[in-house]
Amino acid sequence: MAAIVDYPPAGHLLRDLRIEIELARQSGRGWLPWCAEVAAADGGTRIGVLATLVDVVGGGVAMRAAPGRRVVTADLAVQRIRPPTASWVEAELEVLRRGRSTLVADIALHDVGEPGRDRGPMVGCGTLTFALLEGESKELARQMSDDTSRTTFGGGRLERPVVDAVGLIPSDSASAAFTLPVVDYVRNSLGAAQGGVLAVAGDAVAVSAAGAANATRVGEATVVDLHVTYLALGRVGPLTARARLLDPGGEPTGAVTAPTRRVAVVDIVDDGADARRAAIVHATVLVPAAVPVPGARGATADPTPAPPMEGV
Amino acid sequence: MSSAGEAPTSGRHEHRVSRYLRLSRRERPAEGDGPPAFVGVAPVDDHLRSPATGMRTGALLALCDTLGGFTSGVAALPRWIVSTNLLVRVGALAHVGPLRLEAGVLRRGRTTVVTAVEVRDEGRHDAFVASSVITCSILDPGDMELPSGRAEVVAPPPAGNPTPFETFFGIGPDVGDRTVLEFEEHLRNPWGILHGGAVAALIDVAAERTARRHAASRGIATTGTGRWVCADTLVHFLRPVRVGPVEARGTVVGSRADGQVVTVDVYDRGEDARHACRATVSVVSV
Repeated sequence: MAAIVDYPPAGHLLRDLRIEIELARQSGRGWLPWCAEVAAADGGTRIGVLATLVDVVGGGVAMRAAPGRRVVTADLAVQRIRPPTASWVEAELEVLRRGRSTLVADIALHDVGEPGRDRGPMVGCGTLTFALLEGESKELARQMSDDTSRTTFGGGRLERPVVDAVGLIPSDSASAAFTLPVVDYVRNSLGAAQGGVLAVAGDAVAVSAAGAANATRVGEATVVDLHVTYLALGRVGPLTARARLLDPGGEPTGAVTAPTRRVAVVDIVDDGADARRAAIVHATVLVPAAVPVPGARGATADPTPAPPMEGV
Repeated sequence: MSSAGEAPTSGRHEHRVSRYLRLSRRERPAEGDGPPAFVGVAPVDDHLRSPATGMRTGALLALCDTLGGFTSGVAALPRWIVSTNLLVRVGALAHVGPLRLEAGVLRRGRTTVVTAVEVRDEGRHDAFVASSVITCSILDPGDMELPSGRAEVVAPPPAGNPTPFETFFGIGPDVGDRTVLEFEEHLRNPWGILHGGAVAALIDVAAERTARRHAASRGIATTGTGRWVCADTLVHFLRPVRVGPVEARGTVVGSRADGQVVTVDVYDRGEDARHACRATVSVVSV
């Protein structure tokens, strides 16, 4: 992520998401408003979008913690505890460790009424690892010297679901692969597909594959855990994201009466660069019960009985 | 940072953790000039089974760390590695065994190696068990003894009275909400720090106990056996554990349909309670 003033440009996903960030030297916060276009099947902000918010805030925190160094995301993990459905979701980051070549940050996600106010329940958590590379940007270093900065990526809004807005297109009939063009709308400051966009791709493909495998309507499943390992910049495109459902064996027969937990591994390759692997995504997908289980809830901190899990 | 990638049986660094888990290892033929790849096999011994009847996740983590770390280390030669991140995504908690692990390097950069490990159950027609990614930092080994080759390593025969999991890893009963590991010499890796598998074992035990206490205090009813077992686990090795004893503190972040999400922080009490590790674990009811 380069100079905040210059990035993101007008007509960019981050502006359409209307992200706001506030950065300090060892911590940072970011906010993203809820809208129907970012919602998952359970109504809460989908995990790929949460990962986008986290990546943006984390990148800013990492640049401040390591002034004069180039920062790239090495891996990102988000666990969604409950659907974020408040007006805004807040991501709060703190640096856990700043080494010579890496930085690890801790994430807490909360429902909030508005940026910086009316904090509600915790909706998720996670961690980020950044690689700190040589390559100084003097302009960026100057901007990062401020003790605290507040930035709003405004000026746009999503007009359609985020999966469509970023350009993800199904590329096989089994719903297990999507393609993503690498265009300015989704590029990061290094000219490659933005890290959060790869998370959105992993999220979307995992949902599609799990839903198709469970013979439910595509879109009913929700990714609740997402881990992205970034291997190479996806600069050329198009990118192909292909999911493997790691089936433990023994498809449930008859009506599924309890939530089903599926694990998907998504390989994202750059078709324009000899199919070089850009990222690998591990996703845990929850497919809701076909028949409502009395007393069961999709995601809550209340002490309700935990129905036995299918697929584990 | 903790580490994997143990040296061969000659010298003072034997495969202590991998011998306990009875991990056999052989090299898989590389494709052309491709990166190294290894296959490991480990039985699901009864003393390593969880209430879900499969190998407990802490042992699975230790296997992935050991084989994945060794594979990463070979890719880094003549230097060696320490693990920095370890992810295991578990698809099946019930196993017959033996388990087969296939490790291959995804990326070998200047300062890091990223290796994937996939685990399958040979006793259940190669059913998928878990998928793992391990990230390692490449370091100068100095005078440390490195593996002299990639020769096949065969697991020892089963012991008559196997040491229980928690006993082997020096984990005692909780003191309040703290889980403590006594850092014994057999748990050191070639770098002289606490083996990554031992850290994984501590996290596994701490997360389970935390989830069980939380469920009991909140009156969260369970079905089946009424027990809690760890599933998906992500470990960040922040700093090496050098002294001990080692303390783990678990916190339930929230509950959802598939169980509880628990974070575990690990501290080296012998070194000013230095924050050594952060883990996030999904703990499910079985």
